[in-house]
Amino acid sequence: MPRVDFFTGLALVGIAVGVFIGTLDMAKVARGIGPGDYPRFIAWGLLILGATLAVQSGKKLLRRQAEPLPFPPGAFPRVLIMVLMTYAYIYLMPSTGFVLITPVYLFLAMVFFGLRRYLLGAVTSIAVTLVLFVTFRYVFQVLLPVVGLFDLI
Amino acid sequence: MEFGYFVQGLMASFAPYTFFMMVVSSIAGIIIGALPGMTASMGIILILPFLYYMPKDVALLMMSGVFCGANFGGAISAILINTPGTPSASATVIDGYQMTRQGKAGKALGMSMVASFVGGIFSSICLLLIAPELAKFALQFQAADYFSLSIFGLSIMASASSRSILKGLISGWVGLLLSTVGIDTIVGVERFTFGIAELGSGFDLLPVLIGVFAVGQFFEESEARKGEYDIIQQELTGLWPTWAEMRSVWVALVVGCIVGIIIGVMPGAGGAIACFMAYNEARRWSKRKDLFGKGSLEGVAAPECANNATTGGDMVPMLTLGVPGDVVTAVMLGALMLIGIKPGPLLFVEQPVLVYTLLAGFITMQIMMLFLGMLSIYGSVRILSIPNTILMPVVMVLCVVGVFTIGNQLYQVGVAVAFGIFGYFMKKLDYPGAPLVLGVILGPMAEDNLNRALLVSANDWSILVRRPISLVFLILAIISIVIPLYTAYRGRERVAPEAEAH
Repeated sequence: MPRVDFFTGLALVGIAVGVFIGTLDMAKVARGIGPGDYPRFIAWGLLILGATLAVQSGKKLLRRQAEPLPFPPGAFPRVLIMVLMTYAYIYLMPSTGFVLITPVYLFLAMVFFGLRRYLLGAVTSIAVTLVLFVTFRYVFQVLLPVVGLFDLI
Repeated sequence: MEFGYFVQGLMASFAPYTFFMMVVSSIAGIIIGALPGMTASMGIILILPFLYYMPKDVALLMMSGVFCGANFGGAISAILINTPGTPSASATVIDGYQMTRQGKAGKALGMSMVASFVGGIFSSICLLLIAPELAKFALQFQAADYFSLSIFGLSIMASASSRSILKGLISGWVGLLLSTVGIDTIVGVERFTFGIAELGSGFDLLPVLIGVFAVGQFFEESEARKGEYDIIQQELTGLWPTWAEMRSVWVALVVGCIVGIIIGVMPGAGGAIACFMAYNEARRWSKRKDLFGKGSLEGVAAPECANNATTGGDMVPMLTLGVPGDVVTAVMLGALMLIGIKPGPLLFVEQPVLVYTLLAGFITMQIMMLFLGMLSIYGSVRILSIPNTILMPVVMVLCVVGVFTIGNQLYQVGVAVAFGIFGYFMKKLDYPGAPLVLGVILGPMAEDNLNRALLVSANDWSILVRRPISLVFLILAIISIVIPLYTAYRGRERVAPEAEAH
């Protein structure tokens, strides 16, 4: 993946420069290390590593040793959908409650992964949600979001 | 060691009620450890209300049961679903999950169980025989030594990357950078928080760990098309390691025991650091270095042995000095005080029976855990017979709930998903996740202790080489960095003429 590595290397150099600039106005101390010293040291390291990666992969690019990207065809849209679905699940949880939103998310994710036995998917989603809710809320005392039915209406 | 007290303690730990509660707490510990996000300290907090009603010796042994159980339980999810149940199982993921992909989940779990037993027994014996001496050793550690220890830990980055050393280093360095986010502990300046209040406390380890490993894996699985969801058939026979397998991992076990006990007795260092160090050292001493990262039994044995060897070590400073070694023992210390036990040098004099009941119970528990662990393996391996179409979404929800347990915040879940996206790209672009986690763990330790060392020495950097312990760690760090680089260089030199000949 020389092309991706080349751009990753450049991005790392950019981040390192950003970190370096970001630490310039941090307080200096007479003794010990200041708040900006340690990140600055890391930035130097990242700069060197990023530049090395860019140079190494750049050389390969010049020798035309390009390899195909490690992503199977159609992978990006699927992963993107799954990421958005997961963030939507987290975003909606406080307003809908864990018990209501989790079976929906589970069922949709199962179907998305390729499950075609819908009844099995629905039953599993509800059962898993209830087991997790009871276990974590009442045994482990984790305050999973709960919303009353009247709040939803 | 007072033999009479020890026998008394042994008899007390075998009393039916005590023994039953030890079994219950160990099972609870295994379950808590296996759940992503739930840690041993959370487990002890959960059983705290029950401890009030228990006799002191039972309460002590129950806490130890949860501690040891959770340490083993973390390996179950690490091996089966690529999700370390506890930070102590972070290094077990590397080879354990590879073995699962090869259909050897049962073997990996069996080895992790036996390695945990060996580490646990070793640390129990150390606790029994040389606890006061170990405590004195731990007291000698100063800031400069801790800084050098963290540098030694960070030097593992180079060898923890199986394919490209450069990518391993980049991953670790990004981890270090991530560890600087938040309000710094030196003068209280906000660093890279971008005005987001939640970032003030930096990134918690658990969302990073679960995000990079488990959520990243979830996203990677989601990119596959329909009909590609066959389960990996697992061998369910021969879970106990054979004699030949035990012989092949004995070096890893010895390394795990030594690293675990040393890291364990040092306040501030814990299982998460010990597992990576043991993994690295086992790899260095192994005859089959090439198998590490590809499903090596030694790669499972060393970290599991080390993280269990830390359990006894962690207890040493807590019992003998009243100083907690890590978060778990800090919680235990609080719990002990609540039930009327004051740990410290006088504990051994004032309540010898109680102390020796704990020590004897600790050994009994390790033997008991061996059988409880094996039973749990038979049950847990069957998880893998669930098709991925169902298993992966359930694992994802489990991760969401697990991360939510950190302060009941959905923000942390969002962070875990963000790190999941990051972990997905890291996987696809061949960047190992372990060095990143190592950077996040050791970054603050390195910064804080360097600052302290320089404050004490009035900015005299030579303190790092003047202290013998510090010097030893620095030399080890240099060896740890140079050897993989030299090996890689030699490997390339060897390959080049062959390529030219062809």
